[in-house]
Amino acid sequence: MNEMPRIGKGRKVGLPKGRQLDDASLDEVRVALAGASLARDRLIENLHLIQDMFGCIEARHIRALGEEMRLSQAEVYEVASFYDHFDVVREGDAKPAPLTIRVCDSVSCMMNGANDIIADLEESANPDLIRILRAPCMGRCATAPAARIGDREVDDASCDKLLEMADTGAFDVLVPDYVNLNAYREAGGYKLLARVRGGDVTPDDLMQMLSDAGLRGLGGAGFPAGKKWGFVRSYPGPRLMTINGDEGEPGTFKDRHYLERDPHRMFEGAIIAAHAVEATRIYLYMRDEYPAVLAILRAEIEALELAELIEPGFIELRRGAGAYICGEESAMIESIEGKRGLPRHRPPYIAQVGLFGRPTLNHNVETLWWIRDIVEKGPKWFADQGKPGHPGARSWSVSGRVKNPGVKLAPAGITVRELIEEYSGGMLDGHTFKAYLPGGASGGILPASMDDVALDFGDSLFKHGAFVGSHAVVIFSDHDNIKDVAINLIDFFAHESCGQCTPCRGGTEKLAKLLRVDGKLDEGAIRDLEQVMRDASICGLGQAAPNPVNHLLTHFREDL
Amino acid sequence: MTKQTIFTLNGKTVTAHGDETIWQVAKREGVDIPHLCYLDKPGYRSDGNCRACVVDIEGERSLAASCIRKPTEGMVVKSTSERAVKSQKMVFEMLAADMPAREEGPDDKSAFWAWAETFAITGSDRLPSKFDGAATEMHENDISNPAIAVNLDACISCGLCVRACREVQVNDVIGMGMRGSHSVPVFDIHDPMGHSTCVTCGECVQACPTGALYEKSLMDDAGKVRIVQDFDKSVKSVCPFCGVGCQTTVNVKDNKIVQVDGRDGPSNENRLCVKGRFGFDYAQSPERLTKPLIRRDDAPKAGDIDMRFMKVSDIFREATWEEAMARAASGLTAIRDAKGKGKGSNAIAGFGSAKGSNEEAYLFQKFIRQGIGTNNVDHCTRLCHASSVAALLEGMGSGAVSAPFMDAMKADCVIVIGARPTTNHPVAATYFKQAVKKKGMKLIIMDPRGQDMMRYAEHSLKFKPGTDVALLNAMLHTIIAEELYDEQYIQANASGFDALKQKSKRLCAGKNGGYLRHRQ
Amino acid sequence: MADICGIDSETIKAVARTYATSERSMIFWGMGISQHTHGTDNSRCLIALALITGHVGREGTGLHPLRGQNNVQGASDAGLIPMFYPDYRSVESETIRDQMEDFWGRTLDPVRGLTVVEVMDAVHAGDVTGMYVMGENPAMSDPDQHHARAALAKLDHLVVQDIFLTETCWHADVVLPASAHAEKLGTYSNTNRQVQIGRPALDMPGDARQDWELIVELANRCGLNWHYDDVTEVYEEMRQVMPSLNYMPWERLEAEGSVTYPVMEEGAEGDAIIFYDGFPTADGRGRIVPADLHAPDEVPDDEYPLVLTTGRVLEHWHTGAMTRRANVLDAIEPEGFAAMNPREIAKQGLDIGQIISVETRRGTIQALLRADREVADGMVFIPFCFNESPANALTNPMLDPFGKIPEFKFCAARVSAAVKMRAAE
Repeated sequence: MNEMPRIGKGRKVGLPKGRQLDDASLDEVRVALAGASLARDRLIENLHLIQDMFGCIEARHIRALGEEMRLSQAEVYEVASFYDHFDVVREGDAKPAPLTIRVCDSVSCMMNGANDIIADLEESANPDLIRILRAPCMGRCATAPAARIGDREVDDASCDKLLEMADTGAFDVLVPDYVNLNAYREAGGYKLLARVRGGDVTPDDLMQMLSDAGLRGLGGAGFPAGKKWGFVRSYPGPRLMTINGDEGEPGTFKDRHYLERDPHRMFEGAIIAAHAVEATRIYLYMRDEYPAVLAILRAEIEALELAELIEPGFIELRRGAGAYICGEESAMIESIEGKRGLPRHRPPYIAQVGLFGRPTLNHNVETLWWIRDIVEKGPKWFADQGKPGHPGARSWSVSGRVKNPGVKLAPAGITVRELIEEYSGGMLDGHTFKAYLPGGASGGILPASMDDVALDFGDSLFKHGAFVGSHAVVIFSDHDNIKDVAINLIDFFAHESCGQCTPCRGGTEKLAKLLRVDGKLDEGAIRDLEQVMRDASICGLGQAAPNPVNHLLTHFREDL
Repeated sequence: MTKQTIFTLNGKTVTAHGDETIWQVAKREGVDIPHLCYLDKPGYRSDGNCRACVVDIEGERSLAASCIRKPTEGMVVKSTSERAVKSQKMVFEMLAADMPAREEGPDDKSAFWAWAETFAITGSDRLPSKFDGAATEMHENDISNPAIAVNLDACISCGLCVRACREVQVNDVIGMGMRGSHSVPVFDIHDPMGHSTCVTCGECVQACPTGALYEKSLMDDAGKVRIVQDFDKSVKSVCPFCGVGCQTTVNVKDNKIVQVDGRDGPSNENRLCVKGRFGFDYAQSPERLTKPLIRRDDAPKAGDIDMRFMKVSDIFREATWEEAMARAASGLTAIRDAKGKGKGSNAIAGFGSAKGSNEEAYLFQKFIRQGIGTNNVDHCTRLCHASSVAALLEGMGSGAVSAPFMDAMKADCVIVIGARPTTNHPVAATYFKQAVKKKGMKLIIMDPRGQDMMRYAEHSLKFKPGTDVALLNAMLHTIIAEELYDEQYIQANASGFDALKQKSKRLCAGKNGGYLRHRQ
Repeated sequence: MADICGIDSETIKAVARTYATSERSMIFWGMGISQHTHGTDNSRCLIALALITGHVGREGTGLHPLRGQNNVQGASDAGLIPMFYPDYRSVESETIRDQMEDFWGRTLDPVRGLTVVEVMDAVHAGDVTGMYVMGENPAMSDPDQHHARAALAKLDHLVVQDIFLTETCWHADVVLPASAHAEKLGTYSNTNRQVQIGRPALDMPGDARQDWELIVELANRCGLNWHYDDVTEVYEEMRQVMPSLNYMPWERLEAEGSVTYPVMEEGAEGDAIIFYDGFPTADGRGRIVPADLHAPDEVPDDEYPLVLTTGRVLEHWHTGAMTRRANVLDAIEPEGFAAMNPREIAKQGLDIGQIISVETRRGTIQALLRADREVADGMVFIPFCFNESPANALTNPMLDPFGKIPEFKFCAARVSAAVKMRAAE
């Protein structure tokens, strides 16, 4: 705080209490907002505008933004400080360097040398110009190690490559080629939407088809899609819809993969779903780690509006700000409302009381992506792609020690062995299959001996204390120490825990410390923490966070 | 009739009334379920975050927080199952692992330690502390506020202080900053409490279950450890300051007030403001008058005398009660009983006080009227609301308020004009702010000076000072011109509407300040 | 009207519509309304708003002048005002006076007495020569302080009963050390008409005595023959002449902790809402009284270009006699200040935090300059609780013709930089 004359026994009586508003900061904030809405739910959007313009969020700007939005300083600060992508700079603190390089240190990138890159960068980069940050999964696990320089996403990163990009100024968004609205329509896109809107295909037809196809929520929970529509429709309107594009589960990159290629498949599915549940608006929540996807979505929403396929404003794009927990649907809803991403208690479920208190239909990107094909090609076409007893195709994000990592369209119920051998070109030369994550960071770590488990939602994995989640499969070999993997995963959860409930907040932090002690682990304490986290955490993050630790102690004792 | 939900709690069939939570039913049934982030007090929403109150519900995979979960028909709930107790106990162990030892913490009698004791938790020798290797700002000892010490090493991030500040007092100073194990209550933008916009109402202190926010008056000089361990007495009283009339509990040790807490009175529901909670020690001031004083014969009287930098003995001498009372009475009777200008009953005036009790006020005016024989008795209300009372007596036949301020919670629209409740009636202001936040009441503030409550207002009118009548007449004119008045009510209950119609029309026809004229 | 009050007409209309058309609307006001020479007119407008919209007499509606002190309501009810006996019964009504004369056993003054500011004028005129002041501090609270303090100094006999040596005590002949709130038992009536009991927590210091006992002794030494065993007996005597306290004996207050008056029948709850079935006027109807526009008494001019307004701060209460001796409160607001908008400060060429002089036609004070965006351009705000910067040395004593309240909220002033004249502390 600016030093004012201090008089009396402590307080500066020359000013009222606390940080004062100043006109210059207020003007700067107004310029940054450029007429943007000041509604409470736009807080995160408006913080982005300030961060984007000034490279950080200064205390004086928080004060001024609060004034503009009629929020208290604490209400603004607590949100700004919750999300990784906001750099709050208090009086007297240094501002971040003008350029930021984020290096992914999640498990697939760790295996591929992320820590060395970070160390090298910290040594070589000029800290006055470049800031080096560790960052959680960037959804580029197939081209690990991944990094981001400015707004440019970088595959197969190295220290030299990143510094050269910094030198040449290559840090703006790089948008890949994709099927835009015209191309999509030329290939028959939005015809289904017209049929649905025309009443040719009714909501009941749609729900029946989705159920027949066995389409489940592919964000990780696997809830049957048709049934979900029915629930939402059973609560009185007005209803809303959200699209969860916060693909943060380490090892997962399928949503990015699809959106960078064929985004309208998701849009068409979404608009159909919104029509079916009579949602008055769609909020599309996209993680801020995907700048190229954000650019695509911005452009294509505008195109949809211009083409009058949707009313202006019908699809509202919301930008995450660096918080894995916002992939949890109720935390995402809090975030859309402009708050800290704290998961809500259930009941009530969001189908009943969701965004802004309204009945809300929430879907993962990929779930929506399949709707057009399921209707056009028939539910049987989709269901038949799965293994017996496991209807449907799945988009597996495969990374780690395999020859050809990437998104693999393969049957539900496939085994890891089949995924490695038939879809991913086998193990890397010189690597022997040792273990795998069946479902990203939360789904547990299974040993190679369990290579015949059918990978799908439900019992086959559940009985081993594991789950398939977002279908992110990471393959480890004899070169990998599973204790290191478990520590990487629990560090991730400790970093991403929202901090709301004691078991998760304390459990992730304490597990990370207990796993690091020299000598024999206190397995009693670890098991007790595991139990309270599993039994008493509010949401799935805390409940699943101890999974890798459980499996480390159960299956990989030789790595302890 | 309220909804009745029958369910089973620890094997006993019990009934929840209306929206009762499992915890509330358990309390009624005499079942103690531990709780930290839940405060069983008016205005406090349950948040279910600490998980100390988790219970086992048959058929559910994970445990549920009983403070927030409402039972459903036929639900089977166990608060004492092995699984539930294990989690409850682990919650206390995890939190204790992050805390200083009980006797080294800010409040060894806190709700936290009282519950921890029931699980025989005194700390943890096996779980690491969250402060191991963490930045020091995580566990700072902030004593920048003159009344409250902040010891974040005792904080369990339960957010009760945030609810106290944001939802109960609606001062919006405290937030929960950062995330994960770094989650920490912050004042404004993580500022020292004493440098923030905090108004030191102390609601957070009263709510905090660990003493992380605690009264300095009960602590050592460093603001780290509680040293006043017990009270000689706790007196149920009422606040001496403003007209809100907050009920208090006054805690006394060695004939000194050491703490004041809010009580659940009808106009404050446990809330207090900085004056009521922390302004108690004036009564113990060394400046208190302890002996009757008589003016020295050689001390001159002058309007510009300034005793701030003088010795009392330069002007006064101490006297016995007998001498002082004799002198006081004889001076009055001498004037009363004489005749002529400046003599007689009406040459005496008495000023009583709006700070004293009803009984004192009654006796004082009775003395002046009966004993002196004059009506020259008044008090400072004259300087406060005399004109309001004059208008109310003229218009409604009574100077009393027609409804309590808590009725703001039932109103759809509230106008606050020429008043700054957050300064002068802080606890009344909490009802206005809550009404906006919780009930969607439309608040309209009219005042030439801005005020913090304008942040909650639908309309804030900073009009030119002294132009109240113009502004209010314009409103009356709109209501009349647009026929928004209540014809039926007026016909039944009010006279003078036609005169008002004409006057308001005439006033509003004027273009500029021409009607603004000095009163003759 | 819009150009007079500085609020655009659309906003005024929107506010009027919101107030009038809401199902339940309520008005609260404070001294910003009352402390003007047009204070009664201000209140008349508010009453008119409520009466023509029917926003009175129902839950969530009504008129509520927020009472400033803990017992403003009770002290007024108890008759501590020059024109009324307890319960607002006129001293000038012969019937009522007869009743009171019977009750108190002597003839009573048939004419209304002088009000606070009128008393000071009467002292200067030589008509009032003796005063008894209990727990009040007119040397700080009265407008035009030089005038008020000169009056106190002019008195032949001034008895002050208080807990501190207040600014009023400086002029006293006899000072009687009395009891603090925390040392005494008594009832207090808050702004909601709730009667509640304050109880003693502390012993009195030194030779200090209970206020009520001092009044009784003084009364007896002035020729009366009073005898009360305790405070509850006084309360019960009050109830004999105050129908407003019907059905609420001391025991009920003790048992319930808080009772709202009026209580209409034995055992019933008090009426939180009144005027639900008309008004206690002669014809049972409310009376709408139109108000004229009057300028404040002293408007800014070239010589005194700013508007001075006074009020309180959160931490200090009234004249600061209590709160400035409370350590926490004094630490938070330790020093007298004058607040102006930073724009106005820049315009005046002053610096934040410096000592300035504030001057009006009645006096000059010095205060620390505070920058406060809430204060409008062209205004100075000074809290009246600081005796080193006493705002009431500046204020205008001109009275509202009906309520006899001075115009504390508006007078003309000017400011200038000052060398620090106050002694260092």
